[in-house]
Amino acid sequence: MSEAVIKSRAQKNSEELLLGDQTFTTITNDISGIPEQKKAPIQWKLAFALALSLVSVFVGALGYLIWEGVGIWGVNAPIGWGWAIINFVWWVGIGHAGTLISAILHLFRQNWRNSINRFAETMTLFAVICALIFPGIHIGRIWLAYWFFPVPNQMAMWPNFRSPLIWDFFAVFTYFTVSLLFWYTGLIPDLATLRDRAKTKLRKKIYGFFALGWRGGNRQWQHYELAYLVLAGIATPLVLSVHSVVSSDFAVSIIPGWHTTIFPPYFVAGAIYSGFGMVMTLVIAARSIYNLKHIFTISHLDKMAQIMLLTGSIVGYSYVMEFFIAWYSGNPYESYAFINRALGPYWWAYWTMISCNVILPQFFWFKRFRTHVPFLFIASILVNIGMWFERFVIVVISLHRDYMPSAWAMYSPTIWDIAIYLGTFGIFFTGFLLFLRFLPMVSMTEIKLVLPESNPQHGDH
Amino acid sequence: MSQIKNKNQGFVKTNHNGEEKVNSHQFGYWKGLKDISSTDDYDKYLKQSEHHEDSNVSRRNFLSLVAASVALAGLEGCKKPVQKIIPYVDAEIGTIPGIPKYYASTMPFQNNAIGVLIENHDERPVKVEGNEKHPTSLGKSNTFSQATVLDMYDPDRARGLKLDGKKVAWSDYVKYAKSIYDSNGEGLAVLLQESSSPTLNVLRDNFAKTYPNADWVVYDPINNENLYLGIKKAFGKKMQPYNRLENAQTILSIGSDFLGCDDNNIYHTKKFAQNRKLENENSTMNRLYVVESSMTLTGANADHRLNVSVGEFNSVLKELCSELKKLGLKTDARSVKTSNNLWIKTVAEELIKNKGNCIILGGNHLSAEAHAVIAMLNNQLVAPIDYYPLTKSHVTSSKDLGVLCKKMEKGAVKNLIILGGNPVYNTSADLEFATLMKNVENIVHLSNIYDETSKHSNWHIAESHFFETWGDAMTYDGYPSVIQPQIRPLFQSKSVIEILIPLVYGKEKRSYDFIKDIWKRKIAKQSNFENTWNKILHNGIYNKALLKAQGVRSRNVSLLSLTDQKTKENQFEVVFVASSSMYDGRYANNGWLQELPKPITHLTWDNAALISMSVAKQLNVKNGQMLEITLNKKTVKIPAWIVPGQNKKTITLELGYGRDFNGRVGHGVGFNMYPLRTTKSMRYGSGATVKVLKEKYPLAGTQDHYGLESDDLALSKSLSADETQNRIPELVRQATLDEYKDHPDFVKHAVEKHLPDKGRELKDYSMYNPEPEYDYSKGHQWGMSIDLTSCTGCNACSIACQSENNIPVVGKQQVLNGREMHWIRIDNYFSGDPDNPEVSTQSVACVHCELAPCETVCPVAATTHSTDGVNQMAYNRCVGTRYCANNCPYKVRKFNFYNFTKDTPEVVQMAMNPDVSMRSRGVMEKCTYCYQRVSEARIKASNERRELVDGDIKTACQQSCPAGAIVFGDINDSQSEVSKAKRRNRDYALLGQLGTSPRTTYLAKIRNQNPKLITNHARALH
Amino acid sequence: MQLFSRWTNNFAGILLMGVFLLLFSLSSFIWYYGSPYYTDVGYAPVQPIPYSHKLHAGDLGIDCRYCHVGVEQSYSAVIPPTETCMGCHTYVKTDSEKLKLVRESWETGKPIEWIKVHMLPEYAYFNHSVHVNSGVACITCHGNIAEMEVVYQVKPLSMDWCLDCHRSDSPEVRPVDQVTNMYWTPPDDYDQFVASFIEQHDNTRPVADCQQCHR
Repeated sequence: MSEAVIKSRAQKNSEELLLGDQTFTTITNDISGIPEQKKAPIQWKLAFALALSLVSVFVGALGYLIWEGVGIWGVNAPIGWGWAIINFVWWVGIGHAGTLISAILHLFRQNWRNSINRFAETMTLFAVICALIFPGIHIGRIWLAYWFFPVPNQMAMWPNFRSPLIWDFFAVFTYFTVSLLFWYTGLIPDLATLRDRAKTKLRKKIYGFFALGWRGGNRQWQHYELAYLVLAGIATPLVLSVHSVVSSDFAVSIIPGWHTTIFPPYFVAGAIYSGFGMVMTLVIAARSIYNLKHIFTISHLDKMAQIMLLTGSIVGYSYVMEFFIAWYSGNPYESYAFINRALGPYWWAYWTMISCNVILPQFFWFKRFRTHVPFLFIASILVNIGMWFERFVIVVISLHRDYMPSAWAMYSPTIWDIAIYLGTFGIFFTGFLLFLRFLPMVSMTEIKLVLPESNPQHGDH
Repeated sequence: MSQIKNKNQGFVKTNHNGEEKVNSHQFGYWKGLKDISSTDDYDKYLKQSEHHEDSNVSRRNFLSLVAASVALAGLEGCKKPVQKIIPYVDAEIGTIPGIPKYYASTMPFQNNAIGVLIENHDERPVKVEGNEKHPTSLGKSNTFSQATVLDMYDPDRARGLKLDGKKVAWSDYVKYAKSIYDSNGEGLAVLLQESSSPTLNVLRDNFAKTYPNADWVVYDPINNENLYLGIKKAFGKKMQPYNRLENAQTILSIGSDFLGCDDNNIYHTKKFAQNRKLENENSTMNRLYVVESSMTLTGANADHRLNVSVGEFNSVLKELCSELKKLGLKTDARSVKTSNNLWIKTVAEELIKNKGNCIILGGNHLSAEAHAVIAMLNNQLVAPIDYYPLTKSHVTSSKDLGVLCKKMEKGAVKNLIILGGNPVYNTSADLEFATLMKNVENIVHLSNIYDETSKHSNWHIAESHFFETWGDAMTYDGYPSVIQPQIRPLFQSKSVIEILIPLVYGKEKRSYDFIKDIWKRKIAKQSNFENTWNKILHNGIYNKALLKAQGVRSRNVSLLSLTDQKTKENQFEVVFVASSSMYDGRYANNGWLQELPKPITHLTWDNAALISMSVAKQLNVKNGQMLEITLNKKTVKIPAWIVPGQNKKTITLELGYGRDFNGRVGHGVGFNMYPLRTTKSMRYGSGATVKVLKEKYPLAGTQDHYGLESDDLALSKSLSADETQNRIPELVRQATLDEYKDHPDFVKHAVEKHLPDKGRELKDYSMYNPEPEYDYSKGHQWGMSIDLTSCTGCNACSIACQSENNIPVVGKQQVLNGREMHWIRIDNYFSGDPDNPEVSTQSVACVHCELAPCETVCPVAATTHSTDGVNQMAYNRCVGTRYCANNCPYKVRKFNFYNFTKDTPEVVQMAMNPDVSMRSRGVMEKCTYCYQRVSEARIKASNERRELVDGDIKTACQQSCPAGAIVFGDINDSQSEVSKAKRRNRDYALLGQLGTSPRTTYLAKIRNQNPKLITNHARALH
Repeated sequence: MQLFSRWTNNFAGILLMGVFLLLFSLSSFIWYYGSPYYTDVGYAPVQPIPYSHKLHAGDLGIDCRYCHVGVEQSYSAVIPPTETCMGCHTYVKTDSEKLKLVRESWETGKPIEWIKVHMLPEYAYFNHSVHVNSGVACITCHGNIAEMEVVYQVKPLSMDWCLDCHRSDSPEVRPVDQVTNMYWTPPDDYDQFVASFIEQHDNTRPVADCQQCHR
């Protein structure tokens, strides 16, 4: 690669991905300045208070749930799965952006990811935690949830490894573990930075403890880069596998509208779509609160919007495909299931889904919308509403009218469904806000790569 | 939906203290009843009973045994408390705990006797089966005889004797009776329910001797009075017709629901179904024509149904006569021709063609005159009906009741003894029985629960359940059957006979000796009576009839007296019918019956005004819209329920609801329709007006026919209705007999199969373990076959299943949430013209797929397959992901959303089957093929060192099914009934194209339609 | 400036080890002490009456079925009614202090409340008759009762323990007429015997389906 090209690219990057005249020092100051603030900004305090109150709602609702049983929810026969599973899939989906951004984009050397990957990974962690709550609490006898694990016992009983729910458990747990490691590995150098900048002994100790004695020596960097690369390699297939497995909860079943081979790719695309939606929401919020407009630049938003356009369109394509196959298969149950989605009693859910997931992203063909921050903010929220309804459509509408017309019924959630759902938002944001308060929300190490200085050819003029 | 619910609760509260109603129907339906098991006198009773010596059979320590079994009840066994074993002190000879005992007995039902066999576990009755030796039950049962177990253990039953609300001793009543005995009995009246008890006869005769001028009045709100009067008109004396349906090839029912709520339905169903069993396309079957105003079970099973309002029944009858006259019968009918002429003409021709084996049945809405005409026609058509004298049984006479009321009005009645029954609630409104009762000094009321009438009586005596008392009854054809107690009275209750004895003889006699003595002298007059008696107790019936069939010659009955009541425009006729669940209200406190989805409407926990779809459109009424119905200035409020096949002119009202009594299950459930029922309009009344009210009331229906509920919300309004229509031919495969003859293999073509390789079976394409875990060609392999042609959809199986398998009752609120627990779901599909549709009935329980979708998805392997091919459900392994239920194409898995059994009162726990575990919260359950019975039989055979033979095992549903439509057995045994059934060419697997290869398969429904009348071609053929 | 002392370099490793060890020991603790092998075996409650199986079944050699009449026909072996005791004790030891309760029960009609030793959960439907009639001996599950002064639980009666026999190709059986014999010695060619035994009683082949016990 000719020197000139590299130079120009380095220039270009620094222009778009990092505004203003930035140096290593300014970046370090800007970013590690935030966790070092004496006082958190008022918005943070408000948000945190709100989040905590939602957590308490969750605790209350969960208590009642365990006391009375899933009967307090709207679930019934034939709609055996309601909001709990919808939320599970939804949160897992959101949890996808993180690893995608960090791992896959890392492998593709997309360094525009560098300023948002920490953000995304963190979001992933808490999203997956929220998701993991649901499989456990949606069952009838919550205290027996550990039977999902292959624990040796006096009954000589093992889990049924043919059941997708078991695959789920393993898939999501693996995903969580790897994401956690990946996130933490990425943090180490930054933690070291915070340790070194720390004023008080305690902070030094704590950051130091987690920095694992990082000194930033050459050998350490070498190992570090390697480890990071390996983890990225491991994480990449997971991004695709997790939601494929989750989708098989439905795909493996026999219910028209569930029993579809298109699910894995379509679920993954949807997941990334919603994941980016969530990152977008958070980034836009953060950059305005902590005014990091020079680090989360318009060009980041632009690029994310482009990915959402892509994934959104894949999802849209899948919707069309489902209908086509339903008709083409000549299976009357299948075709009815889909007609019933569009025209049945839950038509509003279906059309919300279509407008948020298919029509909305089409705006992103135009740069005006991709770079219009308020629009992006609203859009990113609509995206996740749309994706929630996608799961509603799949879970509820497919179940409420399947094979036997005599068993057809309607579903309506109760206050407790809603309470639990809101509760998980509490958990999510409590975690996320704590992260903003105490850890560097942007990977300083990586964002510095964007600077011309970090370019090997830099300076030899 | 949810807001509607809330609205309603507000609404209910403003009605008959709905407060209680709503609460007691929240989750945990027993919650409201929890306290009962600890009411003082029940406990006292527990104690005293230890010493109390029992006369009948040694039941010593029965209760302590119960206490033990109750202490161990419940599912979770994680912590191990110290458990006790409480043995007998001296065991009855041959008693081995754990081995159930069966005693024959009789369930008295109005003036009929239903022979039952009662299963006793640890000396407590827990299950009722039919008695095969008994002519009316023929080993089968109906919903009432199945559910009566729960009545026995009803925690709300009255206890002991009360005088002006204070507890008194039995001796006090005896004193009171003595005092009447010593007086000349001036102003004494006895009011009883219908009965055919020979012992009661003797008592009646002696009563008449002792009190020449006292009244003996019999009344039941649902009765055959007009039928008997009609027969009197035709043949000269009141007689009980016994319809020998087995000999009837053509059956015409004019408003008679002989398969449903009308009397003797077990016998009728069995004999009717007997001629609807098709071996192959060359078999013959009977044909049923029904004329009715509202879709009943009978109408649903009709091959041809004519939808006519009750008011026009007479004109149909006249037209029929005129047609028959043309064909040579002697009537004074003038020739008439209406729009129904073709239908009636065809029927007439067929009746004549089948002279000698055709029969006309008149419903109890017909006038005596009409019944007379029908009797005459039957007589001329040599219909297979035996007539038996009624002199020995006690049947309703509204005349007597009228006389009694007059006397009461005048204050001429001093002592009124009401033995069972509930006149305040169910006598015609214009009599105002309650007010009349004020003029009576002493009123004794015998009833199982302290009810509307008890409130107006100063004496109240708890009535014994027939499980608890000696007694007898007689079948229509005169076979005396004995009622023997299974258990000592739980609540110091008394029977009708025990009440009457001191009254009639002025002194006490032990009912056992008394009855035995009567049987000795009057019934089984034999030298070695003791042996005979034991035999009678063993068989439950005496093999010599007390009555002889009467030869009859009919006089000419004129049709001139037949007038039909035209209903004016925008007026309606109101028809009162017995509830298929509550009957006349006597079962109001029975949770099983309250929650049993009614045939056709699938309503639970309520009655409703049944209206036709067109009327609903015309009045713009939706299901659950409150209506205000006015008839002869009397008014009731009741929600509407839209029913296919309902006549435009007719509003059908179910009696037996809206009780106001101490039964906490049934109190305030539904709406009381008796206030609308006057002497003029006992059976139906025309000229009713309807006002549509604003309130809506949630009705808990378990099947949404025509998508009436949900499609309002849809973009395309008939989405589910249309799709249902498309699916019927495939789900309930059906053809007319002629089509069947032409295409014997039509079931095969009902569904297009897409098999790439014709050489392979559907199940070869199943994604669920294509390799079955076990070799199903070896050992016993259980399977079931359900014959849709003979199944009438009578619900007996559903309740039998509930009783056998301890299925919880969940309450209205939960049914509204779609959480009812019945393992057997009886589906109805209506095809064709909504005003006169064809009904396809199908009872669906777990079909035990060999390649079961539910099994693969269970994460904890709680539901698996057994070596004998049963889809088993290990309750205690289930964690409740509900994935299996989602993945079940048949939707037959039921989930315990709450701990429905937690609050079951101790008394009710006694009704539970000890061979089946009680399910706790969060556990999935479903049909197990009554595996407890399979195990029992298997172990028995193994102990006896023999192989199982076909018939060793009967599932609860199979055993109860009066139509004999359900067959269960070993499909590897080529000679077993079930494999024979499965070899028939009508055999098909429900949703078989999914490759689940279910073990329960169905025999296609065949309608024996008359080619001349075929209107509907919704068929599975192509 | 040194934040942490040298040993902390291995901290991560130590931590990992610790967690692993903890988990291991914890599970093995539950594995052993939580199991019926530990919790149930040896349960020997004090009965209201000091009834000695050693005396009656052992020294006097009364057959089990003399008292436990249900064992061949019912799911329950049956604890004998007071009547049975009185059958002998109206004549034998009529004034023994130990038998006071029995006599009381006989007079008052109040049953004797024995303490249950072998407890199965209610959702496990065990049937004595089918086992006894298929050559499964009393001693196989109850141990040598004939030598117990106070009856105690010998076997864990846990599900896997049941399945050990139900799933095995050579279950522990003996000639049906020997089931109550506490001192029966298996023939030398025991395996052969079992094989032929199963051969003859085809319908006694043990079944391990869930529903046989859980329903």
